Amino acid sequence: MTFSNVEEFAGRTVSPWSAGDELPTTVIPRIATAYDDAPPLLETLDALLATPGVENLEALSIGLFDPEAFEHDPQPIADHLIANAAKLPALRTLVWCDISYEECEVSWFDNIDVAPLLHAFPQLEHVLVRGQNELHFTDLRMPNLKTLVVQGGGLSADTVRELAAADLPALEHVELYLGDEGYGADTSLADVQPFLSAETFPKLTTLGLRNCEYTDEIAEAMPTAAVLPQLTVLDLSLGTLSDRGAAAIADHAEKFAHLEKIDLHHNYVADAALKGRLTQTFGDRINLDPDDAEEIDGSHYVAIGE
Amino acid sequence: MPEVPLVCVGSAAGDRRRAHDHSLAALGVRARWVTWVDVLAGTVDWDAVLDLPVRPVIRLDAPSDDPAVDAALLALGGSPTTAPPGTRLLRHDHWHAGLAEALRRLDAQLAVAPEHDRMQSSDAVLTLFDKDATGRRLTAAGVPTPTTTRVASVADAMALLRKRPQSFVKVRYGSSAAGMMAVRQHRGRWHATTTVSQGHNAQPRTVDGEAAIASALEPIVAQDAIIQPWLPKLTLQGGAADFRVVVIGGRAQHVLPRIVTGHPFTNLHIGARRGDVAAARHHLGPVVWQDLLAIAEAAVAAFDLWYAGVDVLVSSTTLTPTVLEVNAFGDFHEGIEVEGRDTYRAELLDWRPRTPEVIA
Repeated sequence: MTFSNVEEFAGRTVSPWSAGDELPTTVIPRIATAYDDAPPLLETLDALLATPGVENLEALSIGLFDPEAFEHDPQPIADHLIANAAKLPALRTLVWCDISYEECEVSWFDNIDVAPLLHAFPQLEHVLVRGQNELHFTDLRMPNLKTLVVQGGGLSADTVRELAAADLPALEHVELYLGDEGYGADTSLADVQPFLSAETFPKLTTLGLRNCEYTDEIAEAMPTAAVLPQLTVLDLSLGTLSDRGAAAIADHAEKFAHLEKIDLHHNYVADAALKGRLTQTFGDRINLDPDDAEEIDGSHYVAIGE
Repeated sequence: MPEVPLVCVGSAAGDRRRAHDHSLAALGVRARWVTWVDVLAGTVDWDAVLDLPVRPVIRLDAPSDDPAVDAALLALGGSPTTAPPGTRLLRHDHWHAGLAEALRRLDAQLAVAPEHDRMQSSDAVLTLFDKDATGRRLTAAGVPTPTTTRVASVADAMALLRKRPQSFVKVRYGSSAAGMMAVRQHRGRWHATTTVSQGHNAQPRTVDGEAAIASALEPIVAQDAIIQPWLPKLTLQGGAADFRVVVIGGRAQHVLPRIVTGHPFTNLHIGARRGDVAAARHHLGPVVWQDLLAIAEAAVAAFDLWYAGVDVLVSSTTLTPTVLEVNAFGDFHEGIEVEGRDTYRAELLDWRPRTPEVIA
C-alpha cells in the first residue's frame, strides 16, 4: 500500500481548490501545486485568503507544497499561514502535507516543526499531519485539539516522544502511523507507553497505533493499559498483528468488552480457532480482515512502506 | 440465432470472442467471425463471409485473443519463433511489424471483396499500437496528452530522466502495461517500479539505484522506447485512479474507474481494481465529468475509428483531464452496462456507416 490523498477527515470530504473557485462550506478545500501547469502554492494560498468569506472557512488542506517537494520543505507555506492567521479565525480543521504517492513519496520530502504553525491557530480541533522526515512537535500546546492524526512511512522516536509530551487536554482521538524501520521508524513499546496511560490525554477515546512493526507487543500491553477502560475505539490496523497479539486480546476479552470497535485489518493472524473466538466474542465490532498482508520469507511487514 | 451483418475478425475461441458472442446472444443475434489465423494464411472466403442480406460491417478484435496469432505476428516481425520463457520482454516492435503485415494482407483481401464497411481503418489500428505516433496525432488534434519523447539509448533515457522528478518509460509499441517503468530521481537518489518481470511473477517490482535502473531499462530501450512525464493521478476510493472511457459512435458511453495502490500502473491484471463509477461521477462533479467525457471523445475523433477505449488521467491538483492512451481494442469490459447495453451491444446497435455516400 501507499499513501493516497486524504479523501475524508474529521467527518468532511476533501476536494481540490483552485483560484476562482468558491469556498466550500463543508468540504475541505485542498490547495496544492503540480509539476507542470499549476501555479505555485503560495499564489493559490493568497488567492484563497483573498476570497470573500474566507473568514468563515472552517477547514483547509495543504497538499503538494512545491513541485520539487524533496528540494524544499513547506516552511514558507507555514510562515505564510502564520502571518495570515488572523484571516482564518474560523479554521477548526487542518490537513498538513496531504501528498499522495503519485505526487511524491512520503519518505522523499522533508517536513518541519509544525508546533509554531499549530500554535498560530489555537482554535484548531482536528489536525492531520503527513510526512515523517524532520517532523517535530516541539512543546506542542493545543487547548482545543480533539483529533490528531500523524502519518508517515516511519515516525522517529523523537517525534513520538514530543507528541507524548504535548499538552493536549481536549484530545479525544489520536492516530500514529508508526511505520517501517527502513523509512525512519525507530520507536519501541516504551515510546508509545505514554499513550497507554490514562493521564497523558485524559479525554482520549480513540487510540490508533497503526502501521506498526511491533503490533503484537502493543496488543499484549493493552489488557493492563490504564487508558483501555476509557477507550471506545482501539485501532491496531495496517500493522503486524499475529497469533501472539490476537491471543492477548482473546485471552483478556473481558477487558476489551466495552469497545465499540477493534480495528485489526491488515494482520497476520493465522490460527483459525483464535479468529473464531475473537469473532464470536466481538462480532461485527472487530475487523480481522487480513487485507493483503503476506508473509515473505517468514517476515511480517507493515501495510504502508514508502 | 439470426445473423446480423457484423463480421468480426478475431480468435477461434478466446475470451474476447466468447464475451462478444455472449453479449450479442442477449439480443438474440450472432455475428459472423473470421480468424486472424485465416486472414494471415489468406484462406478466408470473403465472398461467402460477406454474403449477407444487408451491407456488412467488419469489426477487428484483438489478435492477442489467440496466443498463436501473437506468436505468428512476432515471427512475421522477425522474432525467433521459440522465445525463451519467462524472463524477457516480448519484442513489441516485432509484434507491431507483424501486425502491419497482417493488416496489409487484410486490406489486400478486402480490396477485392464484396462491398462492406469497417469499424476501424487499418491505419488507425496500427497508429494506436505506436505510442509515439499516437502522441503526435493527439497533439496535432489539440488533445492534451503527456509530452512524448523517443529515446534511442539507455544513456539518452537516463539523461532525460534526470531532467524531471518523475517519468514513465514505455516501449514504443507496447500495450496493456507491457514494458513500462515509472522512475523517480532526485540528486542521485533513484527509485523505479517496472512491469518488466523477472521470472514468472507478473506483479510490478521495484528497482532502486541509478545503475540498477539503467540496467533494467536495457530491454525496454532496446526495442525503441518513449518517455513521458509521470503526471499524478487523483485519489479516488482509496487509491490512485484513471478512467477507461469507451467512446462509441463519437459518444463516450462506458466509463470504468481503475484504482491502484502500491504502484502506479492502473491495469486490472496487475493489481488495479474496478472502481464505483457512480461514486466517481458524484465525487468529480458535473463539470469535471463532462471534461473527462469530452476529452475522450476528442481523442477518438482524431482517428478513423467507430469506437475505442481511452485512458484518461485527471490531475490530482487541478482536476484537468489528460489522455494517456487510446486503445483500439479497449472495449473488452464484461459486465459494464449503460442503460442495459455493454460495449459490444452499443457498437452494434449504434452502428451507422460514417461515409453514407459510398452506399450505392
